[in-house]
Amino acid sequence: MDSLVLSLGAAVTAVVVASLAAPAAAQDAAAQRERDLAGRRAFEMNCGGCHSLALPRSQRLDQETWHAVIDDMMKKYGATWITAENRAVIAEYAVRYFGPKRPPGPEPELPPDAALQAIPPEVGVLLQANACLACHGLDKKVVGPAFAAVAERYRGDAAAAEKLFKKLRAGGAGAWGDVVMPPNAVLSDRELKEVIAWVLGVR
Amino acid sequence: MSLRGPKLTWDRLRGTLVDGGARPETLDQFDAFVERRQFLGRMSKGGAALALLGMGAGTDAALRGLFGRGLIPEAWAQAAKTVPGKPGITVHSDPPIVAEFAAPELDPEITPIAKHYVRNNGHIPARAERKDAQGWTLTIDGEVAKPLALTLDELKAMPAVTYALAVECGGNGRAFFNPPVRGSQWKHGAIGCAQWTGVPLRTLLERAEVKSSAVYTAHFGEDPPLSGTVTPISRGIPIAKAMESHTLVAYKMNGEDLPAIHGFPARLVVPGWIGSCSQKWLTRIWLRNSVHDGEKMMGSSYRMPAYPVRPGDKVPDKDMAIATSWIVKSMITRPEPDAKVAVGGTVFARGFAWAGERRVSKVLVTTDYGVSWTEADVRFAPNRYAWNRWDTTLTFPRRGYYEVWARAFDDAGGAQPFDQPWNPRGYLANVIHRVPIVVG
Repeated sequence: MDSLVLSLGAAVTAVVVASLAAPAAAQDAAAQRERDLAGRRAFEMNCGGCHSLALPRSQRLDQETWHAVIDDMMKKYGATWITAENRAVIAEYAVRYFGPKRPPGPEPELPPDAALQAIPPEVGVLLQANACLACHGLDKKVVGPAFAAVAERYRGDAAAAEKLFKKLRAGGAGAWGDVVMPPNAVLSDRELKEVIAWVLGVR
Repeated sequence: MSLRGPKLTWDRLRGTLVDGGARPETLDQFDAFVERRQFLGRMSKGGAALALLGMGAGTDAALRGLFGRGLIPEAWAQAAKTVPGKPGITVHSDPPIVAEFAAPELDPEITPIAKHYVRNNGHIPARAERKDAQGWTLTIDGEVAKPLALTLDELKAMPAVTYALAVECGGNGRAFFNPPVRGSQWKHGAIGCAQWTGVPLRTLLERAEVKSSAVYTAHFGEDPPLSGTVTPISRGIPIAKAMESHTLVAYKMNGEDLPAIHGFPARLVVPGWIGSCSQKWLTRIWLRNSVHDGEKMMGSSYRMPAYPVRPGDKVPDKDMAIATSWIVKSMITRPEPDAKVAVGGTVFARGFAWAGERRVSKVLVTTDYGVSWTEADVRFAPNRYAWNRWDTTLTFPRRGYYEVWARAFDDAGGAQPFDQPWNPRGYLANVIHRVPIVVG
């Protein structure tokens, strides 16, 4: 009888302890999922501008090497739009999913962004190809002005397209703030003009 | 989320028309059409696009080539997994295009263009995509008495040679490094042996009257870098290699004008050395009186440790030496991995072997993990720096799982290792190739 009571007591205790721990574990899992989503978003927005995302995805590097690689991108290979904060977020995500250990699972699915989905694909390809979306939101400032704000400023300005063409080719800062926009040497003249025409039409 | 798709640019479209044999009138129509800027608004579904373009009879066949090559407009939103002209290639990255085939696809002695690997550093120049050499010149300057500026026509007017030459990326085999190293994760396919036609670089250097003070070349190409602020790759080679008679300024590949993706209108082919010496979309060779220190010559780029290192160790930059010639290596193209063989059956095993500046002396093959070896027949290569075909007959009297291993030796005591020695950037991988098969 005594042993039965003891084992019942132990079982009850175990259940109570487990139910106290479960929400904490669930909270940790939820927090990790948020970090993973933020990590994937930062990775895709910041790292797909110059080279295919398949390239970093094919790597299996430890933390020290990922930090060195991202440093190289920022200092030697022109990824001037990566902020110090994003650098940490991207590195953490890269070590988790493209690191020496087995990833915790498949990369998390990012919920679709309705505003981005609405961009015509032929323009979207060009924006993504040049990491424009790493710094410019459609209607939100990120690092640079929102495209809608650019369109608003230049509405009715017949010389806007030409001015912006020169600005995008040369890069620079000053019109909206101090952060320097890298020059665009990759899009052809026609492609650059198509992007500018689309931006000036954003509402 | 990614909106990446194959970059269907005007220039690439035009280049595809040229490749498809479009007549000048068609090209004129195309250029005029582009100027009217109706394309982006109208190009929706692939099939409808042909009708919408409405360019008349005779253009259909050329344009139809567009869709067969993966430039279908509706593929805008998909990740680029194909390379035009190379169906079935494994794409590691695009951009920059880094793509290879598996070893069995590289079985022909002369690698077809459709199977030749691609390793780009930046984007393909617009001039190359348009297949239009108008305005291109090759400058030879620096430590020369008579600097040259040659047009493609002038280059083509000079005495030319054609050689079968193996070109291999310095990172071929990087995927087999343990621990993994940063960079393109090539397996076996970053090598090709095509027929290259061009002028020996030596001929150009002699015409330019290269001075005795010239010790190194510095190569420049016109591929736009991925990011506008980045210095494009610019490597070089010692003058002795530049003067070697098989080092070419090539403008034809397998008898065709250089494809856009392989360096139109002209490129270097520095056979037997790591592929980054073979600058594509060549515009200038600068003769220097010191070792070139251009982009991707310094730090640990294309450098090997001066001594063997423990896998995973850091090596100080000062102990990293410029990688030059490839080392002895081989590849098995038959049997294919996981081939099924009947009990008592015969396998005609074959592949290639090469040894950089050295010559292949023998190739040994084993099917019992190295306990017993047979010597393969090694064929003569058509010229120096082509790869050598080897082949041998293997019989399997008993059922089971077997691995075919091939090990090449060179004429200076070198041979392939059984395990891959490690270096920090994953260069010059030459561990033996192992192909699993099942008997019975």
